Amino acid sequence: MSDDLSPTDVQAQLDANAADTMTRIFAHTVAAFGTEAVKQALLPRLLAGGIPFCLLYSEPGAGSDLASVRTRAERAEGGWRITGQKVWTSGAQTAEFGLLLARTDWDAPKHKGLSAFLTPMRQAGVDVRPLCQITGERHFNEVFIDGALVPADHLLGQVNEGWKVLQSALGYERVGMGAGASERRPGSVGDNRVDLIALAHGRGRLADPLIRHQLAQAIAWRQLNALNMDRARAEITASGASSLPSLGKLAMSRILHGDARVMTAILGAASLLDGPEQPDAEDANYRALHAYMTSIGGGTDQIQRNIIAERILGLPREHEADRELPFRESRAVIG
Amino acid sequence: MTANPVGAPIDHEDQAAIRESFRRLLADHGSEVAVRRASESDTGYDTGLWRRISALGLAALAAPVEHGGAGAGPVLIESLMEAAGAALLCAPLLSSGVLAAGLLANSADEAAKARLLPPIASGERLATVALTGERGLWTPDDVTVVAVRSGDAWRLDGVAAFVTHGAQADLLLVVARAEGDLQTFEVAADAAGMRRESLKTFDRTQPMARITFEGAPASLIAGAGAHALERTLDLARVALAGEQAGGARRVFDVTIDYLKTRIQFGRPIGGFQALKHMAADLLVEVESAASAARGAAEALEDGSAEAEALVNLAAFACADAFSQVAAASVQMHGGIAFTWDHPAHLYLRRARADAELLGGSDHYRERYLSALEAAHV
Repeated sequence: MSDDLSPTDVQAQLDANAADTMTRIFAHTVAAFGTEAVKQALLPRLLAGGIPFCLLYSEPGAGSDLASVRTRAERAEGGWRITGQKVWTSGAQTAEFGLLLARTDWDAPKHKGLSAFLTPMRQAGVDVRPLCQITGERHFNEVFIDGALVPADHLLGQVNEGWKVLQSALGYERVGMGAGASERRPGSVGDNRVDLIALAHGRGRLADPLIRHQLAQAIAWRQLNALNMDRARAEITASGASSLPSLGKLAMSRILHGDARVMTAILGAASLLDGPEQPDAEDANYRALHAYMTSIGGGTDQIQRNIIAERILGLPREHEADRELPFRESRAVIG
Repeated sequence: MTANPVGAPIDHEDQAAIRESFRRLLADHGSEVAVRRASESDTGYDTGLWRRISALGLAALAAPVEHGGAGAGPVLIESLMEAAGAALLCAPLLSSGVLAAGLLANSADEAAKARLLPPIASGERLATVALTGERGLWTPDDVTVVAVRSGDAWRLDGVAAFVTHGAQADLLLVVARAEGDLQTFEVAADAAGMRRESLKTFDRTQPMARITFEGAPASLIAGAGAHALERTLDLARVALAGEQAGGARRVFDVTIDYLKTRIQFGRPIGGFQALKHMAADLLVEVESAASAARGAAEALEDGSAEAEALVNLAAFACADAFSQVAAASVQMHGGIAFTWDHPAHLYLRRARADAELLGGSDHYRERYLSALEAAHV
């Protein structure tokens, strides 16, 4: 039955269904940490790819420092009552469940007083408000939670061991982002998402040596990342592991910001304009802003550099002033 | 057209065995001390190590087995050059093993191959190719030596510059303009009308010469014109990219080790974000260089349509990566790396030299874009 499903089995079924990254995160987490009742109820639907859900991790006061979350979970009749505020939540409006990180022990050090919950989203006490981003889009939401109920058997893992659940879920998310970064190796720029050469040609800038230099570099960054991901796949096939996917997200940041920069350089003053009447300018300007989604979202480039330095290169961990303190004494709480 | 001028490809296991023997040889005999000693010696390279490399059968790396060569294709050459770059090999593997052996292998001159390749392979004769003029662009336009025919004989006039191991070579393959086309000529080391000037080089491990020809007698190598030269240069570009990728990784590893052991302010300096973040960014460069060099080698070996773009990409990406990593290495070490006795400057010197050898980054960035445009049209 479902409790016999190993991560490999789950992976195989997800692969067979070509499941998206979100479904993978959720399915692996439920399979590894869900109670028997939850697994019975949700895994078949999940493996078939059928449950909309969202990630309730970040808070206004807990971004890069995710272990500082202040959303609280307290024991109540029938389970747990949740109160707090989450942010950067995609899919919150349609989600049936949210994978939520909340504090269950304020006297324990920050990483040791957190628990993970499978929170039913469609209830009073969960208020989802779209967040208008710098691009003008409303992809993310704020989620205000006021006494929402989580049934007792919807706890994931053990009480106060939510950090472990989160690390596992984040691992699956990063694998997904690594795969997202691994586009087919572009043999020509035709399969670059941004066709920079065509833009430069169309704008009569392709003969400008400064533009050519920037174009070559921007395209090269994308192709180098694709070559790294080819190697990653080969290494994983040969030995089961590769550190290369961890570099993909950092590389993708510079690729996306670089694409936007060279598009803007090609357009020059035309990039002062915007809107559907100016599709090239709108595209360049949109990309210039949207690139921050990759360089900030899912761990900023700066956090990513710490992770690479610590986990791949083995350099010393960052000092964390409140790592060993009871969380209620942390400046995250006392200000 | 065969994709591989050296004959049937060497199988996977044999390649691994060759790589391992070469790696072990460099570990045993290619230490930093040996590199320094060789670079300061009168010969300008490690003659003992070169004999051992020849004994391993790798001196004529890019030549076919039937002529005593290693029969290595781009993939094996690239991987061996990574090891050579890591060790800062001070021996004419690129000059004799890749450029000279490769140009002969790519020529149509079977008699010249049979006569010249075996002594190159045995290490008895050191060969090199003189292929750029004083502007140092390594482009066809930049060839300034002119060949003039009188009857069956040829004579060379002009100057070849930046000839690697040019003063040490027993055999010179000189690219010259002959009746409008580029051709390759064999010139004996003791030819009359040839003057070789050994140059002082910034990278002491890579000796160079300027060679002046004044009516020097030369023999034409048949079928070693622009096409054979370009194929040989592609191989040399991949080899050099491998050397750069290998050098970048080694100097990076040395730097990371130092960050873990150097204590300041009561802790290893590798704990400071100023250095951790540099290290993370450099790791992207190191890995990208390896991927670029290997990707180019594979494409060249397969005769893929992407080969041209990928070789040019590797040429500038690996040059830039090695330069950046080696320069950052000095900075990240601090004062200790400002000393002559520390190895960091040896890598910086090699990185700076390699970044100009065969043409600079900007040249290859432009060629890369042109190749993409051509594919795009």
